[in-house]
Amino acid sequence: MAEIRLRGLSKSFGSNSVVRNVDLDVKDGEFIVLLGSSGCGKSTVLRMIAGLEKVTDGEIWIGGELVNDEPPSSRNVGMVFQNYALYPHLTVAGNLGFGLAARRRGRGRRAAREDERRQIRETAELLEIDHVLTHRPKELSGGQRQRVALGRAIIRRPDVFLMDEPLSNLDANLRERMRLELAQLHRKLRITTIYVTHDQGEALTLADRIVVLHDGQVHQVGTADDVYDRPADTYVARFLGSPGMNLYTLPPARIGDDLVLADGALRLPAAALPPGAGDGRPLSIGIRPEHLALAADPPGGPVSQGPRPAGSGDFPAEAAGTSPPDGATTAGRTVLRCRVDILERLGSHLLVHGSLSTGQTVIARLDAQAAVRQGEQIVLTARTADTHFFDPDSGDRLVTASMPQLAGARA
Amino acid sequence: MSGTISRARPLSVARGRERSADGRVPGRRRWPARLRRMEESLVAYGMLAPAITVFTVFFFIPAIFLAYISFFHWGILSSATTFVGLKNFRILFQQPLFFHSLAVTAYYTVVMIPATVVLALGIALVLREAVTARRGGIWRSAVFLPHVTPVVATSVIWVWIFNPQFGLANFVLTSLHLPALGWLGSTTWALPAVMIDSLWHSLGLYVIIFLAGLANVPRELIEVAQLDGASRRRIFRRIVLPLLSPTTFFVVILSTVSSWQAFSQIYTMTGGPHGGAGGPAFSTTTDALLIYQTAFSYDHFSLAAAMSMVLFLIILLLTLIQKWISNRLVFYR
Repeated sequence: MAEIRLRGLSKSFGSNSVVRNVDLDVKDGEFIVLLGSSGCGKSTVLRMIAGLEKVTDGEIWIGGELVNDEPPSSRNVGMVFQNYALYPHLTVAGNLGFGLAARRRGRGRRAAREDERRQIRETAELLEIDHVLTHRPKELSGGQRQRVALGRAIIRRPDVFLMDEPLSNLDANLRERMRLELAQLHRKLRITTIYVTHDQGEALTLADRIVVLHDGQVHQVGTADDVYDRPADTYVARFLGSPGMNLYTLPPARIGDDLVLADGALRLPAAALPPGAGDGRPLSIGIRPEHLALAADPPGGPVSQGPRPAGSGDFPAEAAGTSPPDGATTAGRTVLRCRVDILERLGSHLLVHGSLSTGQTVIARLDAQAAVRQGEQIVLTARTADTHFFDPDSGDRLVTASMPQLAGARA
Repeated sequence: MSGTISRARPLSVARGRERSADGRVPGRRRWPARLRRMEESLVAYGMLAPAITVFTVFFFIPAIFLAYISFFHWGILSSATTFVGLKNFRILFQQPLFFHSLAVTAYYTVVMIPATVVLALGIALVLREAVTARRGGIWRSAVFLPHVTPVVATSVIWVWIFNPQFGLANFVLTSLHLPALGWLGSTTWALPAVMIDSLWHSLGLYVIIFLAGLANVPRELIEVAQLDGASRRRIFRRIVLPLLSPTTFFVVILSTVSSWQAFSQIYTMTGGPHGGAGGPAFSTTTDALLIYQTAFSYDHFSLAAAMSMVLFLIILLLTLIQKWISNRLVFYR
């Protein structure tokens, strides 16, 4: 068991810098997921922690020890590779026991062997592979290979457990089951774990904290709720969620109390803006597809219930009748007018791909029964509390008054 | 779509995979099945024809003819060909020189195989570890270059290297305060001298083969073993060597066969066309050399053919034994 500290960790291959100045503190027993698209440097960070890759700059501390110059063998880390990397010429028992035998030193050989056999048996039982101990890897199924790779990494009870996309070679069903088992395994063993993946589903379900990496840099470190509900910048906002957040940059046009994009394709109450934003400067705003709800028929007909029916009741202004024609259901909310281009029916819900009059696209995740037809004009609304604001130049999140209270409110 | 794909694939694969339930390839122009098969066979044989021709003319026909004349009295200049049964073999087994040549060849092979494997693997490991990717090509070429040179030409140079008075070999030995050797003039050292020449000449090929084999050992396996705490030696012995065993086996077979057939370098280094090859005192008379001399110096073609048959059986037997051993030691992924 150990905590890990990364300080200014950098790696370049020649002039190509793949990891830049990564700082990270991993608590003892914590499950950290490095999340990023391929080529973002997440595997390189992992390999540097393992000692398989030399550090160009910065420090790696494991359990209070600077390990930059330690060889992999003395860092006491276990690692699971994407392709399992099982020794193909050894049996499952041989694979599990290889590390034990390698670390065995001369004394008490027979006792040591007996002990190893016990450890192999226990680990195999833990992972339910005790019935295939005499098999070679190529006789095993993908899931079993995965378990052997896990077993080989945990049998020595390493201080740190590193996993490099361990589930990506499994089929979808098995992947979900193994994901659950990994979570249970971690709860049982409480080994500090760093897990690399590009799959946000894995990240959101497994991680105590998620580290979003892009282009070798850390964009955000936080819990699943943090990165999802309060993305630190536009990259994180777009990367997380499936599909990612809708993002628009508003020029500073104000009409009355509202901030309006183009000819009203997007409109939101100025009161919701972060302090100091929107006055003379453009502003990026973001709304998650699942936070968008169908407002009403454009002529002002009855309200179609979106996935958040309760939300509309929060706004007493609805009944005031002082708003523009379709404002009865949209007052105090962020409003998007769009044409429906494509409908994707996904069983449990409906994905609407639309376009604003500005040509920008919008994706909304609506109730499977939502009354939407291809080609028609619809009005989508979202709570201002679910509307995110970013600096259009840096992409950084702008904090609003209403957002911090939202912690943990994600449905 | 499947039609265009099946065209691009080998035809037999397309036939096996792309057929739908009614047994026809969907979307493909339907020739009568027999015609289509004939077309495929013709294409296949057409492609194989050059290789088959070369093999037939220079390999199969001579080999069969060789087996044929080993049972006859046959001379290249005499027109009388008479069947003599096993007489040639009987004569052969009464010749001490024949058994001596087998012993010389066995000695040569027994030294050459381990020397080849150890040196080639060693050089391959050094090349892979110590040489950067950018310089790698130059070093690989340098190691491979001797193999491209003509054996006869380089063997003449080795004769000079092993010259007892002016040769480089003795210069190196005396510089190291070791006694100078008679080399090609000595019954003890003539064969080792030939071995050194042969190793120099053949190692390049085996180094390249080992390099290819090493490149096939997945890097993650070595990394996992490092994380498992295995020492470099342990990783080499427990991971690299087993995974390399098909390559090693291949090298062993190749070097066994080429050792049993070693001829050019021995002929050139120990006498060449001026006579005396195989000396001194038959100490370098391998069976290949004896076969050559029996046939071309003494005009006993049938006897030489019989020797070749015995040599063939020996190599066949050795290969079978190696194959049998390999089933236990070689791990195929």
